[in-house]
Amino acid sequence: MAEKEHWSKQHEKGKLWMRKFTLACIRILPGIVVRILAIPIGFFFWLISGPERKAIIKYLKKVRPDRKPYTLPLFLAFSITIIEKVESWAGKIRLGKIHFQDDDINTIWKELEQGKGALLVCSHLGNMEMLRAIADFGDIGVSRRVPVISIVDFKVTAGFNKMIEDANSSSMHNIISAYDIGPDTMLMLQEHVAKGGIVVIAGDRNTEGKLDRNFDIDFLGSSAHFPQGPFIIASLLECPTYFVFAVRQKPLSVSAEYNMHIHKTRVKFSGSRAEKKQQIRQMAEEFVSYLEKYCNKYPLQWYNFYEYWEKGEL
Amino acid sequence: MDMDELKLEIKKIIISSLELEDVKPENIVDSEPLFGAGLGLDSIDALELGIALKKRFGISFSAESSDNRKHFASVDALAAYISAQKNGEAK
Repeated sequence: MAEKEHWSKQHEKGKLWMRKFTLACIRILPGIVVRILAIPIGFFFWLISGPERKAIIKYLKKVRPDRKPYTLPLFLAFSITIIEKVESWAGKIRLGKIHFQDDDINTIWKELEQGKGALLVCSHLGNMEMLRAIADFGDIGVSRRVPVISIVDFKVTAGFNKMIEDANSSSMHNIISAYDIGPDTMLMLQEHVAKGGIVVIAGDRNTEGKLDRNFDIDFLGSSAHFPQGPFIIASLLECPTYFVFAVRQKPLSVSAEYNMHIHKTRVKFSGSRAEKKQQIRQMAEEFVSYLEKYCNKYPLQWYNFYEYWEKGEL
Repeated sequence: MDMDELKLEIKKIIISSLELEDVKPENIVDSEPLFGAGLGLDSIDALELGIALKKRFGISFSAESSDNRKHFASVDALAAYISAQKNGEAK
């Protein structure tokens, strides 16, 4: 088998006109029609995505070893999620569809209400766009508008971001590419959080090339690479840090009912540099344990379409 | 603090904050890029270095400016930026 490309080098499937077409459909057509259209589109991508299917089979064998690893439902669920991402950016998702849990949601609202900022570590399980609901809607959450900066893996999502821009140019949302991080970035993030803003970063995409900047952490039964970056950022920002998962109640359904799970980290940074390094790793392990828990609970909403575990692992 | 002392101080901070144990201040060339080629620091180094320099020198940046990055290009650029900010405050 040919050498696997790093995920960031995998080409985004679909051309620009297709994205524009998708956006136009989402804007014009009723939600139910768009979701029905998502089925043949998802099927088409499933057909042409050989390497992604293989990677997903490996994931499904780990998360549900007792069942046949049928990949099609996951691709269809992804197709619907893409639509809902765009809808959320275009302001078309109603907050009533997001069900908060009895976890740390009240803590973060209280802290945001007090004017504090926060770091949210999210993942590619479910739909991370939904967590904007924490910040964006004054009526049930926070009485102030909370500015959000997302650190994204821009090289993969450039086309998608362009579409987002077209959909909603007035959003309080700033996007920084992980490939464009410099020494000034951290100072800017620090200032943003000090002013009560939120920083969002995914904790489940490993860093390209620099393997020494990954942690090997046991995930669904065997070791996988997780990035150090998000947790180092947490240690440098020294602000309240939460793990957030926004997942559909049912992966395949016409109605978009979401569950939002949010947990405040138990790790506190203090002490020497060596101790902090240890605490950074602890925080990554804590994140992975939640990720694993929700993968088990919502197995069909895992959208990391590349070889997640070490080569040769099954 | 004259420029040479300032540059030495910057190099010491780079080495201590990033734990570059096998690098000595005299190994860092003033004009060479810190990131990518040259010293070869990566983006996580960049995050840590930004904070360490802020703690030591109290430097600040305007959030809007796109010039921020170039102040971190090399030891020369950093020294020039830090001393310019200090002189600005003294006036």
